[in-house]
Amino acid sequence: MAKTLSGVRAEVLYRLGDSTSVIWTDAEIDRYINEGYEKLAMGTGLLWDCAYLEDQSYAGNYTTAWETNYLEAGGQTLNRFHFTHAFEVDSALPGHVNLGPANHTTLWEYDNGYVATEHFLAVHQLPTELIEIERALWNKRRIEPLRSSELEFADAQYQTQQGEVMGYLRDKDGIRSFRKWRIPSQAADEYTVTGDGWTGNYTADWEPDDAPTTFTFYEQFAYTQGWEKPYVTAALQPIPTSNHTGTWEFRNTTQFGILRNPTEIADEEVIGSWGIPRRIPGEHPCAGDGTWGIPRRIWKAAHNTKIEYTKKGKTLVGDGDTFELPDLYVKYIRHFAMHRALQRDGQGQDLGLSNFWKALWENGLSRARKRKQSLMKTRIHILGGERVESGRPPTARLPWTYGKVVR
Amino acid sequence: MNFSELKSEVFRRLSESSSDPAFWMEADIESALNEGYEEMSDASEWYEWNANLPLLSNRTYYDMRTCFGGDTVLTLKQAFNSTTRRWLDPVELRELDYRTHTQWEDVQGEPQSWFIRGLFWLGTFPKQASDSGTMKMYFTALPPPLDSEYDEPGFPQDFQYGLVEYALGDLLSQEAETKKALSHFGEYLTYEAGLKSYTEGRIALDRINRLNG
Repeated sequence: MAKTLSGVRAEVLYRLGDSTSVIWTDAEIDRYINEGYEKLAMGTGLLWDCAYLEDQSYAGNYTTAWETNYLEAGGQTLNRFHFTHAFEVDSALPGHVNLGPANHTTLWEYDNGYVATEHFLAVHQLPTELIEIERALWNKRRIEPLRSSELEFADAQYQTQQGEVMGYLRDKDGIRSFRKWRIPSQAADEYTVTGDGWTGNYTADWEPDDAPTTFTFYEQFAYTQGWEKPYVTAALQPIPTSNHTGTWEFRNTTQFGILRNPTEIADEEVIGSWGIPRRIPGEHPCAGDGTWGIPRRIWKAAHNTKIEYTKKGKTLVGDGDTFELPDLYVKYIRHFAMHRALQRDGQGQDLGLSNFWKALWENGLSRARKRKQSLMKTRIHILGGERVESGRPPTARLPWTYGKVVR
Repeated sequence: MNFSELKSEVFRRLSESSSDPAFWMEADIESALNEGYEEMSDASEWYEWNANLPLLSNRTYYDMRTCFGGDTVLTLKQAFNSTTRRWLDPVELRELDYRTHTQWEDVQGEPQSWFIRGLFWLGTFPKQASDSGTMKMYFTALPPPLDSEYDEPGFPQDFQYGLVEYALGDLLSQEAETKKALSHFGEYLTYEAGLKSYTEGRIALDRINRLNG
């Protein structure tokens, strides 16, 4: 059982001899704990995760941040956008150049083939907990981190070029930006999600037998709302609720909820024998350890952009919030909180003890760093043996004279 | 020294009766001793352990925080594939990306190499094609805490007084006895360094290091 914020706070206060929070308040200790948590993650890179910057047709349904509070209840908050066609990028307002283009406002428009021209986002915002990208991939292949100056030289139209994603930029577009080079030209592979619900388009069971053969009969209709069930005749009660007559209507109205029956997954081996689906064979679970939760991403890794990164833990706010760390590493954080509490001016200050806890904290940090680097120590290297090249091969570049007049 | 003797030693040095303590509770002493045991084990990594890791279909990454049950893994040392009877090679990700197969994550087969992401994710290459087989993982871990009166710390007795020193430092610091606490913590650090050196240098005396040896 992972330790909670209140548990660690109590440990700190107990060791400070202030269990009743007379000298140090709970809020103050919480701040030190969160500070230590962040410093541990940033100083060692011990937390790792991956996320997808989805290559999917860009749908936008708001243009300024405050609008998200006014979106329809039960609907989806998609993306922010400022223009609807690629040519408009030159006329975009300052700061808005990377917000679009988006030419549809709901996902079903794309899913049902109503989007004639697909636009893909070039610049994504990275997750707020991200510390550093370790590896980025497109279509399961590593892509290269590049500087904008390199691309200006090698591909002057890099901001509009579409094709396979081969590299990415982190400069020029903002501190948390991730620009794909090139802009994707196709959507990521996806699972086909079925689950049309009960599509009732006839009312009496004899209708399918007597009707013209050109008509497609789905299911028998009985009632449109759940509460009506007790009021229909007993023979019709086993029929589920139906509030649409065509299968396409259901897809268009239901864009959220738990994944029910993605057809490709249904053909796959089922993992586990009960509960809701958690893991999709061949796809990496993201945002979590993959042992719990429900699948949210129905896009595959193929033709998709993925980042693998070191991250900070989630800020602890509630008493029951838990650390994403084994208890041992939470102890380092406790040492840091002790150091900070004893260091601050005022009653309770004890710089001697503060320095001791600081030394234990720093020892913990260096142990975590050492462990992270320990993998290669177990490898046997022999002088004159096979040379192991750990760096990447040189990037293909244009000749230095390219595009210049040389005499 | 067993747990009971360690507790008695701490009580004695605190001028407390171990049978009828007046100021310190026995639970305080136990907690402080186990805290020291954990700190010393964490620093020296003396406790070496192994566990079987069941291989799962299509899975590249295993979370070491959960896949070894209650064991807190400190450093993963070696991995042995029980099916192929081969030791797995530690590998850097760039070797896989640039020199093995650009889409190596799709490759299925008996794991031949292993790598670590962050501090807690173990990766294998190739990934197992079905839920079958195991890898025996060798690692350093935290030992189980001292619980019964007869439990003894697993490392040599010469270093066990380190636990007493840590416990005294921890308990006295809670009472704002800074000077005394720091003095005991200083003593503790000497024991910690000693155990670390002992653990790392077990064959140092007998071994002659040579290049290409």
